[in-house]
Amino acid sequence: MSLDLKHIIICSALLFSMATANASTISIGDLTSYGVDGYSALPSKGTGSFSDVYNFTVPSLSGVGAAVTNLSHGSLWNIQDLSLTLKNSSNVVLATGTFSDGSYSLSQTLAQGGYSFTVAGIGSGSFGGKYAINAIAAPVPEPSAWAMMLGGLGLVGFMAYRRRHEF
Amino acid sequence: MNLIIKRLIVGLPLLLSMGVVNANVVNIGDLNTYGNVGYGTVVTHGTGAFSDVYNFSLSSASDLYSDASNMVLSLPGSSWNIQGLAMTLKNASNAVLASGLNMGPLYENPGLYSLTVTGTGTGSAGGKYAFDAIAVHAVPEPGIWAIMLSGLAMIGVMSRRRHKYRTLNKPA
Repeated sequence: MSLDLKHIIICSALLFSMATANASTISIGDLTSYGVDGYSALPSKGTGSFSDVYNFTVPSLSGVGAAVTNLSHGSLWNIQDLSLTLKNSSNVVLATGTFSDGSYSLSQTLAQGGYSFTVAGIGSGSFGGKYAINAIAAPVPEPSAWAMMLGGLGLVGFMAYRRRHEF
Repeated sequence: MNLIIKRLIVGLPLLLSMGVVNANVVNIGDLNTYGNVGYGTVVTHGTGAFSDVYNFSLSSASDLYSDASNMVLSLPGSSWNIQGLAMTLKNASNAVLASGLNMGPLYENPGLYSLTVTGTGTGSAGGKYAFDAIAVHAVPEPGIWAIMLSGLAMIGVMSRRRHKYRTLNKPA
C-alpha cells in the first residue's frame, strides 16, 4: 500500500513536471524603454504544448503592439495552434492576436501598469517548434498633455494677434 | 558643361547611397557552433527598400534550414509591414543556390555562404521581420555508411580469427 502511494506521488510529480516543462516566464520590464526596435525573442520549444508568459509594464498611457510568427523548418520544427494573448495584472484577457500575412498581431492602448503577453502553441516537429515575438510600446500624450499643448498654441496665437494689432 | 559634370559627380554617389541606405551586413560566423538553436533575430527597418546580408560558414556538412517572416505590427499612429519579402541563399561565388522564405533541408558542404533578405517597408514607420538559420549536422552520406560497414566487417573478421586461433591452441 505504501509502495502504491509512493508510485502515485512520483508519477504525479513526473506528470506535473512534464505538463509545465514547456512553460517559461520572462520579465521584459518597461516596454517603452525598447524604442522602435522593441523587445524580441526567438525561443526554441520542445515537442508538446507550451505556454510562455512575458510580463511587462508601461510607465504611462501607451500604445502597445505585439506580433508572433511560427518559424517552421521542414519536419524538424513547427508549431500548431500558435496564439498570442494580452492580459492585465488580474489575468483578464484584453486582446488576442489576429492572423495577417504570416504573423499573429495585436494592438491596444494601455493605462500605466503591469501586463503580460502569453504565447501558446504545440511543438509538432520532431525537434519541437520555434517562434519569434516582437513587442513595442510608445507613450501616448494623456488628455491633460493635449490640453496643455492646445493652451500653448492659443497663447502663441494670442501673442501674434496682439503684435499685429499694436504695430 | 563643367557644372553639369560636377553635379553628376556629386549627385551620383548621393543617389547610390540612397539606394543602399537600408542595408545591414551581419557576420554570423560558423553556423554549426549555434547548434539546433540556430541564429535568429528580429530586424526593424524604416520605410523603403532594404537588403540585409547574413554571412556565415559551415564547418561540417549540414542540412541547412532558414526562415524569414514578416511581422505585422501597429501602434496608434504608426505601423510596420513589409511587402515583397524575399530570401536567397548564395555560395561564396555569389551564385544563387536556393530562394524562398522557408528553406530547408538543404544539404550543404563545408564552406562560406550568405543569406540575403530583401523587401520594402510599407508601414507608416517601416517594416519588421524575423529571421533564423539553423545548420543541423547532416546524416552521413551513403559513401560514409559504406566505409563504416566495411570497418565493422573487418572487426568481425578479426574477432573470428582470434577466436579460431585460441581454440586451435587450447592445451589438451
